[in-house]
Amino acid sequence: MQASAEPGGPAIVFDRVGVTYGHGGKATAALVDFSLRVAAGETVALLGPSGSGKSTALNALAGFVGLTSGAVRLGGRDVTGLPPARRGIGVVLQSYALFPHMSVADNVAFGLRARRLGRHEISSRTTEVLDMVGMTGFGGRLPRELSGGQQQRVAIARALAIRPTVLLLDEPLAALDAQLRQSMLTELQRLKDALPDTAMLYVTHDQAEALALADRIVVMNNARMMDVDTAENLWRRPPSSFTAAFLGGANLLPCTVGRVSGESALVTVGARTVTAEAPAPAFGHGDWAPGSAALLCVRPHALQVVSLRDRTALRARVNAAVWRGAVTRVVLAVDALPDVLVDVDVPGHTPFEIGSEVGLRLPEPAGVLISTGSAA
Amino acid sequence: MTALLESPEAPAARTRRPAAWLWVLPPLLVVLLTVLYPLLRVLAESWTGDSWTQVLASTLFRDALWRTVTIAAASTAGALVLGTFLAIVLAFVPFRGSTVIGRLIDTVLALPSFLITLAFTFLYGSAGAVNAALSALTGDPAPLLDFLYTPAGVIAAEVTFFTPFVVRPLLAAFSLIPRAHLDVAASLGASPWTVLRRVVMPEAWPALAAGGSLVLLLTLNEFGIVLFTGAKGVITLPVLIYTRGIVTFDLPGAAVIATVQVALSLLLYAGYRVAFARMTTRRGSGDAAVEQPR
Repeated sequence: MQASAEPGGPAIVFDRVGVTYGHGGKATAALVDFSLRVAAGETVALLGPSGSGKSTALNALAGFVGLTSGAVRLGGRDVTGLPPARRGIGVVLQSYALFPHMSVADNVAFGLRARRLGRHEISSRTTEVLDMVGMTGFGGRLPRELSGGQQQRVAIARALAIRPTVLLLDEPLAALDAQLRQSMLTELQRLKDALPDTAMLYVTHDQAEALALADRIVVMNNARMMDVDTAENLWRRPPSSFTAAFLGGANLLPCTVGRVSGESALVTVGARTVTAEAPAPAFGHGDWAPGSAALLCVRPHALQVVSLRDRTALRARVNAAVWRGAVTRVVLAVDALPDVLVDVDVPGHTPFEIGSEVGLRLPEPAGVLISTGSAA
Repeated sequence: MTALLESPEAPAARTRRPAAWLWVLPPLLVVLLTVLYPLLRVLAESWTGDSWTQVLASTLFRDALWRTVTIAAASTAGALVLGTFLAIVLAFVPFRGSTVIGRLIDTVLALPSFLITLAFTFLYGSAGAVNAALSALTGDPAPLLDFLYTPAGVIAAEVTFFTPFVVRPLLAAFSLIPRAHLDVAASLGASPWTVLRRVVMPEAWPALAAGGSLVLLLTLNEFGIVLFTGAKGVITLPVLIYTRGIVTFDLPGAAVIATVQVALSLLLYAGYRVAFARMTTRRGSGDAAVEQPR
């Protein structure tokens, strides 16, 4: 059903895009030197904390904000100077932005009427997209008669009605409650499969949404792109400490690199020597010189709290313990690592006495090496 | 006994009610004394002799009634058109100094209405700046512009003075429209004109209706502007009441016209309330439906 983008060419290109708000001394850089290519049919998530520039990137592509530098292209066409109305992008926002005085059907048909399509075409396309998002029979309702989840479905249908080759979603699930968010996430996955030629740019601060939906994830911080890679790679081998911490809240333990062989290295963490993955520099990772300082990235669920009698364990004290349902998150102060607190996820509801002494055991291999110079 | 058990709160509520009613009495008395009593006196005064037949039969009254309504309608239409245009420009067309212009428009609200007529005299009067400039250009000493003392002059002054009453509520309504609505509408391919017509104005419609009704009510009762034109050709109901009551001491006659004026205002106000109530019930009661199981 989708019109295909220029064969072979990327559906979306950000070419060194910069966006600055304000003038003179009050100018704030909202996006700096942002370059990205998204292929037709690909879903890319822009992931980052508030103010990281992810929504600005989306607004720049949609034409809602002007570019200070660089260019944006859609299907090979330079759209940098075009008004939003002539870009043909489907946009879904966190606030749904349904027109309150129009029925669901009129909302969905808005873009079709703006395109002056025939009445029959408008009616059949409206029905088609409402079916697609599971809102069959809701055409006559007003937006205020719908729940948040239903309103967001209508907003998605409205964006899809114009058959865009590019769909932008700006925190589409952020206003929904946790349970509904989960079911909408499944819906979006289904929708993604149903639109194999549509390039999607998905802005979120929620790593779970990014991991579930995105083919690739762009990690943003301070108006800049930090890292970009497949979700799998960013999770397994985060190239920077920011990405490691933001995507999954990894521990970053200071260590010293020892002998390196291939993509494996011996590292010393607080007088214990363990093996670690040492990704090749080709990945954008550091050059691991023996004796140099690095960070060992270890996920909280990979660590174990053990008895002090375990001689391979590091001596630590329990700083805090919070039951989170499936796991108990224990925060440890490790004697040999005075500058960091280490998060450990212990399965189940396990009581810990605050201040008690325990052992911390690293897995084998212990984790992935991250260069110390990669901090944000 | 069972009844008591079922509604243990009822007796307490019953004893509280008379005390609550007592609190209503003082303001009610004040309203009755200061508003209703004089109005009733006016109504009673109008029934002295055959004033109703006399007044209703006079062409002067019928002309004044017709002129009042037409001037009010034309001024309201003018204020609505000009006000909507100004509000749209101020809200959506970014230009330097738009805030200053907004403040200036607010300032007009603070001035007495007749000052506009006075200012118009200096601007468009026979010896005013515009006519002086036109005379200097054409060499003809006779004033070219001569509309100030006609109904058109009154309408021009009323439009100038009452336009802010349309601009203010519209600007408030525009500021409540989320930026996201405009962005999404544009991304769907709508031109600025379509966004204005199909997204912005429908959401601002209650504000426009409220501003328009207020202006219609105020122009219907406007006295200062009409009096200051001092023209014979522009006699409206308020001016007629003034002439009858204060100048010729025909109090019963003045009372008849005043009653008509009050009836006209109340009718308009009632119409406005009905229209507003309909609008709010159509838009209100926004209970979201339960999420449908899928």
